[in-house]
Amino acid sequence: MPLAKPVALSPGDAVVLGVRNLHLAFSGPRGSVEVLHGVSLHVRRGEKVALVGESGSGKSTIARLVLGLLHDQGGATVSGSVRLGSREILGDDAYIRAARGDRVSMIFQDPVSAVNPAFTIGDQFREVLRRKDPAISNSEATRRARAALVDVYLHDPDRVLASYVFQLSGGMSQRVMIALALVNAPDLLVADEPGSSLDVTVQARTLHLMNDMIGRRGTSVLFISHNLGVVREFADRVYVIYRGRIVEHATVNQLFVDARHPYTRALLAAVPKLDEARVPDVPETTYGFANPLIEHEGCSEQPSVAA
Amino acid sequence: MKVLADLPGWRAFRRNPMSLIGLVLVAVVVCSALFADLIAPYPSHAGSIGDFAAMDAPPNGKYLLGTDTIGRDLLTRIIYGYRLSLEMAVVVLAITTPIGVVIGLVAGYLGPVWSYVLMRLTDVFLSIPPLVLAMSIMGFLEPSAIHGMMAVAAMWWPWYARLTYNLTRAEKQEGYVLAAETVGAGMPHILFREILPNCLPAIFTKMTIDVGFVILIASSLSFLGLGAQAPTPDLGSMVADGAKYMPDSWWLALFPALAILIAVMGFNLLGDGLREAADASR
Amino acid sequence: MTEPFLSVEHVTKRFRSDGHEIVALDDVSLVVESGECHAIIGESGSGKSTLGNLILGIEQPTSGLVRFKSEVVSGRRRPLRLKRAIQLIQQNPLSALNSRRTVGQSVRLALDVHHIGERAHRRRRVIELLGEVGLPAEYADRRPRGLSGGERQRIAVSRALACKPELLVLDEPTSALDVLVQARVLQLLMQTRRQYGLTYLFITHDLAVVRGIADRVSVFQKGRLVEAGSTDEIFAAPRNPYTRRLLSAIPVVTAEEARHRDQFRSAAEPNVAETDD
Repeated sequence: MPLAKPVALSPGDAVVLGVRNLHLAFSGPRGSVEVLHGVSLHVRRGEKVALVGESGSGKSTIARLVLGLLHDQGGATVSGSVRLGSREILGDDAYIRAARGDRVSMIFQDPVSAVNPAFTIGDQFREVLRRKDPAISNSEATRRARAALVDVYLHDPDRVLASYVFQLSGGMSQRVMIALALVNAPDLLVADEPGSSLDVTVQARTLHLMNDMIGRRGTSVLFISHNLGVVREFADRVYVIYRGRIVEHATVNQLFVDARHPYTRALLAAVPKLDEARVPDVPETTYGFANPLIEHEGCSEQPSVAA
Repeated sequence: MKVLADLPGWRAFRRNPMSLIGLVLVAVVVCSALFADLIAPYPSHAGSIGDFAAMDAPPNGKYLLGTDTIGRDLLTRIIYGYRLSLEMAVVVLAITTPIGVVIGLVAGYLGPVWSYVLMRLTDVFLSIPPLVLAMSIMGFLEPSAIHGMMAVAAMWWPWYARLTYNLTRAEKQEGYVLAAETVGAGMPHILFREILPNCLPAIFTKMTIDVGFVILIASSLSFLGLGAQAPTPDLGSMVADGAKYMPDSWWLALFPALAILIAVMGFNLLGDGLREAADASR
Repeated sequence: MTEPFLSVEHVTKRFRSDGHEIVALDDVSLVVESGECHAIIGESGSGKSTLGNLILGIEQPTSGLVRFKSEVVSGRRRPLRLKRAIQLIQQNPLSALNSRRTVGQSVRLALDVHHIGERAHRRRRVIELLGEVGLPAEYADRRPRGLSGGERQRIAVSRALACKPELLVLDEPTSALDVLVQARVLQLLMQTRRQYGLTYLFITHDLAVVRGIADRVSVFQKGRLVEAGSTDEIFAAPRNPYTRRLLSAIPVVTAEEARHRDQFRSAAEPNVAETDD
């Protein structure tokens, strides 16, 4: 059965990912539980947008929804709009499945568990490349795979292509995952806590590398994290999410210099500081955490979302 | 039982129709066993006296499942047969489970030498087909229901030892074991108050399924003449006796065999359902 | 000069794995003073957790010894009174509590094992201990299921306190916690230390946390102690290149921190082209 071929984003599309008023509820044993309460966010072409929150905030759920990975879970009620370019994808599972790996790709927290251990790295590349170009020849696929590995500064790409994911170190498998995610030059990369399972020095190198490659290709990134320091180094614009609601939206500079929402301020105060010889502050109560959204100047979505 | 009551997986259990069927079948078997005197139509037929006027009668209005060669009501004998089977299963499991579990706990927790010795010992038992093993043990004993139970008990404990051993090895890695060790708790506390409670759901599930299999093995032994002797109403013996008269008096072998089937299947399905419920509550 | 509270003397630990030998710790020596918070910093493979295990008596050194208040503790059997004196807070709050026992039972274990207080009063003591970590009395009778990571770590602290220990080994106690919860737990830990005059051996990979809580720091890399000193010294003027690399790699949230950190960056640029991991 021929799948709907994902339509490439035209150069005129300013907004690569547009989420509007997303509601998500799960029906559990004790009735319906709302997990996302009207979340709106957008990612423009070439931008790196971070979604920051603690565990249980709903940030990973949003990533999975965008990637169409949530419909398997029974009892999920979704409403709102998720657009990839000008195309509405919420509920359109066929389109999203075709787009994954091609127009949209993802990087997960744990590289080893995200890659099939029964296949070599070379097999994974061939499979991913075929998603975009079903007619690609083996030799051409191998050539592109090798080039992708060289791009992530992996020496001896042929050895890596012949290896299985569990034979590689943590840092190397993360690089492989980045290479796999970017080999088809997707429009949007969704990264869920990339590198958080790595050592600090390795994570730093990996994030630098990712930054480098994304910059060269002009890929847009939706970047999920709980680590404010990483967000500050890496993102252009930030959404802070608390219990399924976006509470603050600002550029990176605005957020870290002039955080306005009580929750964001509490988060920033609670991060241990390299130059402070005392335990960080944390408020006794959560007063003000559920205050409505504070959007900083110049951040709102431009009205020119292509119809 | 406290452990079962704790399982919030009742919903998961209820959702699976096979588990409910299992529950019903098990209820039938258990009620027959418990209330045999009340529900059996002809309790006196459980012994050696039957209705001589209705010997070898096919199923009819008076004797729902027919009568055997000396006029005893088959339905009654099957109900009492369930009682005997269940008694055997309970006795066997009551003996083997504690022995097997303790051996498994100790072997799983202690160092490599202990676990090597104990596990190779259980390997010996596990490598011989259960029925063959039971038969060989019976070779030394006079055939009787009690000796049959002892034979089955002697060969059944390694299964529990192996199960508990694996569970203990896994639980040993958990933080709470390290915490108890660091606090200074002794081995008995760690094995029985910390680790064992985490093994119980799996052990109980296995016990439930095993009731069916113990009934099967015990029936097989008595089918071979090595278990309960006449005139005790034993399902396996009834099948053996009835098999001689196939296919004419078909009911003599068929109904006891079906009874065994119902019991084994019922406990199996119930046990599977319990396992699902236990998994759901993790 | 008083005897050192805890001393690790030329300790080496070797493991056998799949035929080859792994040197987890290589001739490590360090001293922890009574009442201090001593941080052990290292990434994966540094040997920091192995060091913790040796001090707790879970493992034995291949060579060298560990002394606690001038008594050698790295022999085979550790007497109960020594077990009581050295307690542990683990990294993973989920697995550290037995889901089949109530919170009260888990906390009470120490009281029963070491015969602390009269039996009749132990339940009251458990509730007191829970109160000291900010948890209500009702928690004594509930199972851990559904409790948050922060609450579980608090229970871990109260369980450790039940022993009336002298030395607490904390193995990444806040690494699995969210930012706000981490700050609260750190506050509790520091307050507890002050209140009971405890000594902490704080094992972590997070340098920013160390800055806020530690008196002295020992930096480990691949089983070797590469740098040691007071917290101020290490952060102001780290000498070892690995320490400098660690400092330069930390993601920070304020400009001041960035300025401070970037001094070390020019000397040890996170080189994108490095491939060995």
